[in-house]
Amino acid sequence: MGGGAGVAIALGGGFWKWSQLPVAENPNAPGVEKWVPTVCGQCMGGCGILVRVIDGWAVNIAGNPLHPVNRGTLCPKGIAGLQGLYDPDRIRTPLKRIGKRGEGRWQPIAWDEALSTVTESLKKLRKTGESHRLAVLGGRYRGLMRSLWERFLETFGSPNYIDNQFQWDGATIEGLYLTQGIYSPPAYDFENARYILSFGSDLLESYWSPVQALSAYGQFRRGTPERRGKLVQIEPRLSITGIKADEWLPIQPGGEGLLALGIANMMIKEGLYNKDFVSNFSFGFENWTDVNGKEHLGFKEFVLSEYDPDVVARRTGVPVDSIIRLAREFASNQPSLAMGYRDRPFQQMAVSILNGLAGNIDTSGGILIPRAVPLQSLPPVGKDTTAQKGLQVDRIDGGKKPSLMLQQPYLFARNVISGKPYRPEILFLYYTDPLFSNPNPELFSKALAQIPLIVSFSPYMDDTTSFSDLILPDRIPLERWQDDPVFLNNGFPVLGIRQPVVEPLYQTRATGDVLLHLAKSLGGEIQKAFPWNDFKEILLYGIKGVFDAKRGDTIGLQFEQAWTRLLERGGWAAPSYKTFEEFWKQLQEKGGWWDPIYDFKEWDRVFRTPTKKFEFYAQTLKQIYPTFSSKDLKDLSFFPHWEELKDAGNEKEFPLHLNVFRTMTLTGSRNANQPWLQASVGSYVFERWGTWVEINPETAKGYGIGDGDWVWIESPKGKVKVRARLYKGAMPDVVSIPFGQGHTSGGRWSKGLGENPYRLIDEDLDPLTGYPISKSTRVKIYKA
Amino acid sequence: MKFFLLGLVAGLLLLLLFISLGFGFKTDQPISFNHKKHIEQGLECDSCHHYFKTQNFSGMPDLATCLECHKEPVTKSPEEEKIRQFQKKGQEIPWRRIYGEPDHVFFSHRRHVVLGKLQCQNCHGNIAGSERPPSKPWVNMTMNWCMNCHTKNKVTNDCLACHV
Amino acid sequence: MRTAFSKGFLMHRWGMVIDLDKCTACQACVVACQAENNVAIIGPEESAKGRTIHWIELIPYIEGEYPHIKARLLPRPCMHCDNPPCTKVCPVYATYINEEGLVGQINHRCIGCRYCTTACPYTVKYFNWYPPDWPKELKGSLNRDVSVRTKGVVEKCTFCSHRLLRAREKAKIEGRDLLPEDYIPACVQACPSGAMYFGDLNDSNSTVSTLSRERRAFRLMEELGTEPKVIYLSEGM
Repeated sequence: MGGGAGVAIALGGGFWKWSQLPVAENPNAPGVEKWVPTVCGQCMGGCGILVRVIDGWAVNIAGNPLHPVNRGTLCPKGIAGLQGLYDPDRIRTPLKRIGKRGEGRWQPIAWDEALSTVTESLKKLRKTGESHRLAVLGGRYRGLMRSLWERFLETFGSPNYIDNQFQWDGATIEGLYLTQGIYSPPAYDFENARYILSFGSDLLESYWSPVQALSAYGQFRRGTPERRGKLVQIEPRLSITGIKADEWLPIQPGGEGLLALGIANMMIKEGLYNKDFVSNFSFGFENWTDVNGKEHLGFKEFVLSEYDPDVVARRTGVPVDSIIRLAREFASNQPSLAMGYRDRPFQQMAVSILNGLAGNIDTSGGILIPRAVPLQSLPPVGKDTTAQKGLQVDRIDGGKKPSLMLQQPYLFARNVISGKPYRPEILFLYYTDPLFSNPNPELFSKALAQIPLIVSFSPYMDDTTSFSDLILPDRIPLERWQDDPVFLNNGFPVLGIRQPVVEPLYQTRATGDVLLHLAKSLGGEIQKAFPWNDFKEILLYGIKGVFDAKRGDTIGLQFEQAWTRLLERGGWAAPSYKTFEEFWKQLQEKGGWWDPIYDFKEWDRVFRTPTKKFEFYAQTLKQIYPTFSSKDLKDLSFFPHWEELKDAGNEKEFPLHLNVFRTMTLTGSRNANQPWLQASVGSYVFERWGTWVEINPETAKGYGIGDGDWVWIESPKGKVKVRARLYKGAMPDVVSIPFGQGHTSGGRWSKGLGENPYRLIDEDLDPLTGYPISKSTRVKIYKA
Repeated sequence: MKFFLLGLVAGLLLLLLFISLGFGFKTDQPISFNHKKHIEQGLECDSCHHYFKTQNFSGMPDLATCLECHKEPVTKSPEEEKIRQFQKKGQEIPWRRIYGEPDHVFFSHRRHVVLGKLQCQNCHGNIAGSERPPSKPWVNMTMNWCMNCHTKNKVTNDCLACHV
Repeated sequence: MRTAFSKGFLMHRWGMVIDLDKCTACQACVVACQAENNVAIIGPEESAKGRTIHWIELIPYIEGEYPHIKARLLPRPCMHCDNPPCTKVCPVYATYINEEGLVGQINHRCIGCRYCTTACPYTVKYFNWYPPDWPKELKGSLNRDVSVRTKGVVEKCTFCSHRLLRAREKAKIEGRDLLPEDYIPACVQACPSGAMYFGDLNDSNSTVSTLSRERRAFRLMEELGTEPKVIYLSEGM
C-alpha cells in the first residue's frame, strides 16, 4: 500500500510519456493543424484529398469535398496513402549497387555523385553517336511528366519511349479505338444508365478510377427515385461486382466477346438496334462497295451468318434463352451500356459494338468522349545533329514510330533478348515495375539482364528496382508538385493540382527536377529545350493554357456547376478568377479546375476514325495491317470476330483454366507494403495478407482439397503455392487467383508474402497488340 | 504491520530510484523564467501561450515568441542570455512539460476557458505571481480532481465526454 | 426506442443506416476506421489466428450452390444497441451506454477479461492480443485525437465519439446548435457510394430516421432483443 502510494506519486505527472503518440517524444510541439488539398497518387483515379498536417506530420487523409472526382469520399487505397508516405522501407537517398544485380547490397551516395554518373553515361552515348540506345520504360502516370520525358528523349536523340501503362485492367481501350478511333479510356456515364451489361468488367473492384465507379454505382442503383438500374455480370467467377449484380452469368474464360457477338446477332435479327444511329452515324453495317469498286461484307450479314445464339451457347456455356433475353433487355432498357475488360482487341470490339447497336454513343447514360484538359503544350524543341541522327533509327520494338495498337513492352523485351535490331545501353525505369506487374515477368527479367546500365526512379525498392544499378528516388505524390488531368464519368475534364503537404521526408528529388538537372548538365540544344528551373515552373507554364482557355472554373460545390454552365452556354467565361495569379492561388486552395459542361454532338471529337463515323468495319486496322504481311486480309479481319484461344497447356495435363483478377485494395504494385490494405484484401473469403486460389467446392472435393489447405497451382510456365479457398462462386473448371502479392522485394510487409500469379502466364502474345492473352493459361492443382 | 512497513520501505526505495532515473518529473527548467516580471511588463497569458482560447492545447511559447522582445539584451540577467544561446544553436528552448494528460483523455483548453469561463489560476495556481518556473504541477490532476470540479459545477461526468 | 429528456429537450440518439443496395463492398469504411482510430497493425501470422482488429468489418454471407448463389456482403460496425448485452457483463464498468445511446468502451479501464467479447452476438469487440507496434516512421501519422490502446484491453467501434466532442465544442463556441454535418464518423465520411448515413434517431426528420422507417429496413438479429441502432436497407426495390 505504501509502496503503491510512492510509485503513484512518482508516476502521476509524466503519464503521457508512455503514450505511443508523438507527444511523448515532443511534448512541447504546438500541435497546430492545417488541411492541405492535393491529389492522391495511390492509383490512377485522381481523387482530390485533404491532408491534415500537424507539426509537419501528415495525420489524416480525407476526401476533398470540392473535388468532382470523389466529392469528399475515398477508397481504401487513398486512406492508406499515409502508409505509403511513411513507409519505413522507402528509399531515402540515391543508391548505387554493390555486388551483383539482385543481391540487394546498396551503397548510399550523394545526389551529386548519382547525377554526374548518369550524366557521364548519357554524354558518352551521344559522343559515340548512339543516342538511340537510351530507352525509357514508363508506366502509369499522366500529365506534364509524360511530355517532359518525351521531350527529353526527342532532344537527346532517342525514339525509345516504351509505354508500359496499359495492362490487364482498365477499360476496353482497343475496343474504343477500333470503333471510334480514340486510344484512351472512354467515359462510361453509368450513373445515368439504366442497364449495364458487364462482360467480365469487375467495375466495383478494378475500374481505373475506383471512386468514380463506386459512387456511380450508388447513383445507378438509387440515384433516381423510381428507377433502379439493372446490372448483369458475365464473368468466369463471382466477383464482388457479380455479388452486387442482379444476375451473374458464368461463362467460359475468354468467351465474353463471343457472347457479345451472339447478343448482337439477336439484336439485329429482331431489329432491336437503334436504326437511326446506325444509318446516320456508322459505317460498315450494311454491305458496301469501296472506291475501287470491290464489294465488301457488312457487319449485319457477317454476324447473322456466323453467330447464331445456339452456336454461341455451345461455345460459351451460356444458355440460349439467356442470350435471347439479354439481347432484348439490353435493347429495351435504354440507356444501356456494355462494358468489357481488356481482352483481345476483337473481343473488346465486339463489346463496344453493342453500344453502337444501341446507339448510346455520345448520349447521357452511354459512352462519352471528354475534352482534354487544355494544358499548354511545351514549345517545340531544337534537335542537334546527334539527336536527329538518333531519331532516324528504328524504334527498339520495331517500327519507325509508336504504332498505336502495338504494345511496346513485350516486343521490346523480346528484341532486347535477341539483340535485334539493337540493345539499349541505358534504361530508365519510371513508375513501372515490369518484373512484378507485367504478366510473364520472366521475359523482362531476361531482357533486363542484357542491359548494361539500369537507372530506376522509384521511391520504393520494388522488384525491378532491386535489379537495377542506380536508384535516384522520386518523391511520393504527397511530397511533390504535379498536374493531374483526368475526366469524370459524365465527360467533364478535371485538372487536379498536386502540392507538397509535408517537407520531403528523405533526400529524394522529384524526377521532373532530376530531368531538368540532367538536361542542364548535358548542355547545348538539350539544355535550351528545358529553360525551367524546376518542375513547378513547368506546371505553371502548362496551366497557363487552362487559364487562357477561358472555359470552366476552379472546382467548387456541385450546385455551382449549374451556374457556370448557364453562363458558358450563354457565351461568357465565368470563372471566379480574373488574373493568372488569382487562378493559381485558387488552384492551390481548392485543389483543381474543371469544366462542367459536356458538349454533345461534336462529332469530330467523338469519332476519329478514317470514316469519321462509328465503325462496324474497322478501317483503322488498315494502317496497322501493312506491318503484318502474313495476315490474310479478308473482310473478316476488320470485323470483331471470335478467335480460337490457343490454350497454353493441353487439356489433359492441365485441366483447369486460370483466371487472374485484381482486388480493390491491391491493384497496383506500389500498395503491397501498406498493412491496412493487406489486412483487408480478401475479406469475402476470409483471407488476409496472402494470395489464395478460389476453387469450386465440388472440384476441390475431387482433388481432396479442403478449405484453407496449401496447394500448388502449376502451369506450363511455372508454379505457385497458395492457400485454397472453397468458393461457391467459382466455376467447376476455373480457378481464380488475385494479383497483387508475391513481391520479392519492397518492404517488410510485402516481401515474400503471397505469390504472383503472373508468373504462370505464358509467352503467347496477341498479334495485334503484342500483349499477353489473359485467359488462355491452363493449370493443374494438387495438394502441397 | 510488518508487511506495511516492508512495503513502505520498498516503495520509498523505488521512489528514490525513480527520481534518480528521471521518472516522474525532473524539477529543472532550462531557463529560470520569471512570470511575475513579464506580467508586470503588461504581457497577457496568451501573448506567449497562444492557443488556449482557440485550441485544445495552450502551447509553450516557441523561440520566435521570446525573440520578439529578447533579440537584443533587455536585462543583464544571465538567464536571458540563455535565450540567445539557444538561438545561436538553432534549437528551441527545451522546456520540461509539467502539465499533461494521457492520450486517452480529451481535454480542451478552449472549452474550459471560453465556455467554462475558467481562469488559468483555477488549475495552474498563481502562475502569474510566481518568480520561478513551476517545478511540479500545482495540483496532481487526477481523474477525481477533474470530476469533483465537474460535479460542483454541474457539468457532465459521462465517461465519453472525456475519454477517447 | 428509448428517449431521454434532459434539460427539457430531447437528447440525441445516434444511429447509423447502411444501404446495402448502394454498398459496393469496397472496404473504404474498414480502412478509414483503422486510420482514424489508431488501430494496431496485425501481421500475417497473427491474422491467420483470427486476431485482426477491424472495428467495422465486411461480413460475407455466401449461400447456395453453384451456379445459383446468393451472396451478400455486410459492413458491420458496432451496433450500439439500446439494450446492449456487453454492458451487462462488464465487471468494471469499462463499457456502458450513455445518455445519447453511444455504447462507450473506455479502454483504459478495461481489465481484459473478455466477457463482453463473448457476450456480444455481433462479434464487434476485439481484444488486443499484442502490444501495438508501429515502426517509428509511422508513429507521427497516428491520429492525435484518439488514444492508443495497450495490450490486454478490448476495443470496438465508438461511432467516432472523439469527433462528437470536437464538433460539439465547435458548435458551442460558435453559438449554434449541432448540425447533422458536424458529426460524421470516419467510415460514413469515406464511403464512396454514399451508402452510409449517420445521425440522430430521435430527430424524426433526420435522414437516418426517415430511412429507418423504409420498407427495406431491417436490423441484424433483432430477435435477440438487443435493439441495435445500426439499420440496414436491403438490396432491391
